[in-house]
Amino acid sequence: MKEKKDNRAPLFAFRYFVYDFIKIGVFLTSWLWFRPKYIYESKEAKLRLRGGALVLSNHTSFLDPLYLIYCLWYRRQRFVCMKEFYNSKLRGLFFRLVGCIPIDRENTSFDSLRDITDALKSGEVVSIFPEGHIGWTGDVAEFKAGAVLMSSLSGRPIVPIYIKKPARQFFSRLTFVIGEPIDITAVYGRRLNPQKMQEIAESLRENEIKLKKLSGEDK
Amino acid sequence: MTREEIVTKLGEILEDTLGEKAAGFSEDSGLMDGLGLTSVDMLYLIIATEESFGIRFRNIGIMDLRTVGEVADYIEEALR
Repeated sequence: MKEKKDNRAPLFAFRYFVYDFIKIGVFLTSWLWFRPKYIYESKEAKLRLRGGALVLSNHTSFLDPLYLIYCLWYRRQRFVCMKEFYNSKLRGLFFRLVGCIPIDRENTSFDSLRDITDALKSGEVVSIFPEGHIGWTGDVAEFKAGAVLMSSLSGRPIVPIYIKKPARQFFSRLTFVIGEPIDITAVYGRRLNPQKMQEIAESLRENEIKLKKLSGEDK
Repeated sequence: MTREEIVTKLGEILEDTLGEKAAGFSEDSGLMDGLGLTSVDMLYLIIATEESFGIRFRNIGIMDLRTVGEVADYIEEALR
């Protein structure tokens, strides 16, 4: 899979029309409403993302994909979502048009994994919620090791992000904590066995908890 | 490649994935139920299988491959 030289997607392309329409239509008004605050873990975390990257975030509400669009507003993202979202024709069409990648959580297919790694290798940003479900309590649940596998297969870094849920939904400021990109292949090597992947997933979860503390959330 | 060679090679991959737990496996051994592979183990096993046999697993999910024998069947079919 060839990565674009400058990693820049065209400013306008028909296949991004619906995504861009939502982004521009919803972005400005809601951005002003939520007045997001950005906290960076380090200087490296502040650098803009170039090329393929796997964004990992905590998942506490249905609005999280929208929040991630605010967070990395300068890049188009492809969200990994449940296959069940495609059950209705209209919903399926919508998710296809916004470029989501469906994944069957019960019976994961190898084609989905390839779709994700191909997108990453071609220089796209793929966003995933590694907890696999919405955590209504706000605690960071166990991370699935699949995200590590995706990053390791594609050779693209993981970018951890913590979304601090507004204290009063729709009335408080939104806070994002952006972590330093983690190059899995550079740190842990190219060939990882499942046990190692599980260990890395656990360390990514610990890192997410660290970002949570940086956001000022104690619990 | 004969069926026996396929199963032997699969055994090496299983050992790499599971370590000692893979010892004494047979074609009837269940992958997730019997050998206790997790979903990530399954994905790893398939990726390693694709690499070493030079095949592609298409339109198939981890639950569709229940035993070692079923993986061997798929490889045999793909190599034909």
